[in-house]
Amino acid sequence: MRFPKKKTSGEPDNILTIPGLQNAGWPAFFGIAIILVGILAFPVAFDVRFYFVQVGILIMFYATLGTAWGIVGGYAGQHSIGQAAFVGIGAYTSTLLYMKLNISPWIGLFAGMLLAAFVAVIIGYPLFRYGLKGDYFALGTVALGLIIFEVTTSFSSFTGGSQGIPLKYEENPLNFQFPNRTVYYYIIFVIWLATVITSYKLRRSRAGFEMLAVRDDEIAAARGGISVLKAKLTAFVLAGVISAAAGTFFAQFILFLDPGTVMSLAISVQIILVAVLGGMNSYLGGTLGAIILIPVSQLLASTFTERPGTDLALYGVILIILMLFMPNGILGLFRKSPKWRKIVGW
Amino acid sequence: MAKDCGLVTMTNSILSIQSVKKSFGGLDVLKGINLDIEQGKITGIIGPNGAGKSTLFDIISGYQKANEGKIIFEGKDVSALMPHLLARQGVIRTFQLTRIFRNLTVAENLLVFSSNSKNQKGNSNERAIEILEFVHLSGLANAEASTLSYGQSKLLEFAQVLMHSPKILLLDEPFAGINPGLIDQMMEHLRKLQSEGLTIVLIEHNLPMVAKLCDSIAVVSNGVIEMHGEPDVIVNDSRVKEVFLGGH
Repeated sequence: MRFPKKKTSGEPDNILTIPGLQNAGWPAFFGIAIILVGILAFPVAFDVRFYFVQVGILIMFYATLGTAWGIVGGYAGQHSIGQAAFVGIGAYTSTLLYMKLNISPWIGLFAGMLLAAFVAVIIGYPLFRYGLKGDYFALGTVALGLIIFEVTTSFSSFTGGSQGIPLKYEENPLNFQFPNRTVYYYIIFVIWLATVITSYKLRRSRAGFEMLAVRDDEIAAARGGISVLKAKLTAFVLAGVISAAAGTFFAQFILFLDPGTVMSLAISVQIILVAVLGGMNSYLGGTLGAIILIPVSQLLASTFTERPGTDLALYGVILIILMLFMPNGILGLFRKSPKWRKIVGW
Repeated sequence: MAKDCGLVTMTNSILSIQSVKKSFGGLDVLKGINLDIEQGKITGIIGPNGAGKSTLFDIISGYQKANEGKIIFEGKDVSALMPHLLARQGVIRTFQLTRIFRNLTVAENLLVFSSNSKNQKGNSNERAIEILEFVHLSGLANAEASTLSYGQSKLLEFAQVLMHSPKILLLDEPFAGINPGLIDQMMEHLRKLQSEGLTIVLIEHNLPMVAKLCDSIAVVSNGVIEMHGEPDVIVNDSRVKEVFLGGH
């Protein structure tokens, strides 16, 4: 691929620059540096209550999942509705390895990612090879989510079933367990940042362009020599692997695991909402969506503790209004500006 | 059996369509197509609506598989190849209904096509710029492709396939919806591409245009090649006049 490595002078290169922050110049990099320092300083510099640190952890957790979903749903256009299955695979793999074989969750993290990649290939290959697309692919992934959920629930002697598994607490960084729980904030920060960078790099790469082409028109993409199967499968596997990593983190953070907590349909829906609200075509969409949705959902849940369900109803109304006015998500508003669509990687 | 009119012997065939049959649910669309496409020539395929011209393109480019028969490209049987593999071999096509990447910019539409070919020539950026200028779309390079008019979309699709440096270009009604002034330029560019060795096959309903541009014309009717020969001969054939010109 001969995409330009960097912008040079003159009109021709101006029209063929690839998406990315270089289109915004140094203020963008300066701004990002300030934001990152602010995020890192938040738990320690402002002496905030741990509740707010937890909200920050949840934001970055869902930002990671939303960004990962953006790769398969936004870039490749394959709307996976069972994404929480991969969160569950990561969570259960690392937890069971730790509980049954005393293998460190750090190793379990990679084992979960590997298993997620395997499952994504096993499920994704036949779905994509035999042309399941659109609603049918989405239903296929719902089935995947339900199967993983039911299997986990049914094998209760091994997985703890619906009763769940409390993780044994042996305070040791090698066991992913820390005396200072703020450390989890920094771990999910690293996972989130790595995910955003992966999504950003992908958007600028040949493989990313191929995914976008497949999303827009599979037939035209094939006419351009692009393997539709490979592009879709790569996106599905990548999103699954990242989701599994986030799942491992989440299990170790909450120290308790049951299917409803990590792999329910509600979690899959939340992941999609985060990505769609922010703008699923952008590497920043999942993050922006999580920054808005997670605090709102937390606020509504704590406000309506005496009237269960009211928060969810209001949450739904807010989302409907947002989607009516911004069907492409917040970052989709930038798509009409040639400069900004390149900056946000639309 | 096709009636050969003028061009009987193919000395340098790049693409050979051999006894290709295709049916859909009992309807025989292609009943045994035999056609040799000569290297470096422009071949027109004409025929009434529903004659099977686009189906033939679908089979050549791998989007549909023939029930019987073979597609031989550069001496190799490519009948079973997937479309993207055929594209990498240099068999590139356009579609009757324009297919572009609507959510990408015009420039990105070309960049996507820039290197999946074993036949890629030169620097892709320079080539993209040159092609965009040729099709008068360089001013819209950063515009989202969904904002283009039908004619502009058609030009963008044409630009995409040129970007791929094909060995054989299959154009399905390339001039439909294009500004007449630009059609002459496109024809001129097609001739220039031909002079560089590119083989072109096009489906087109505008008979005078086909006659003006092509080295040979094949007439598809009732699922077979009825005639294949030099444009002057084909255009003056009474049956062709009947179908295309209403007998005038």
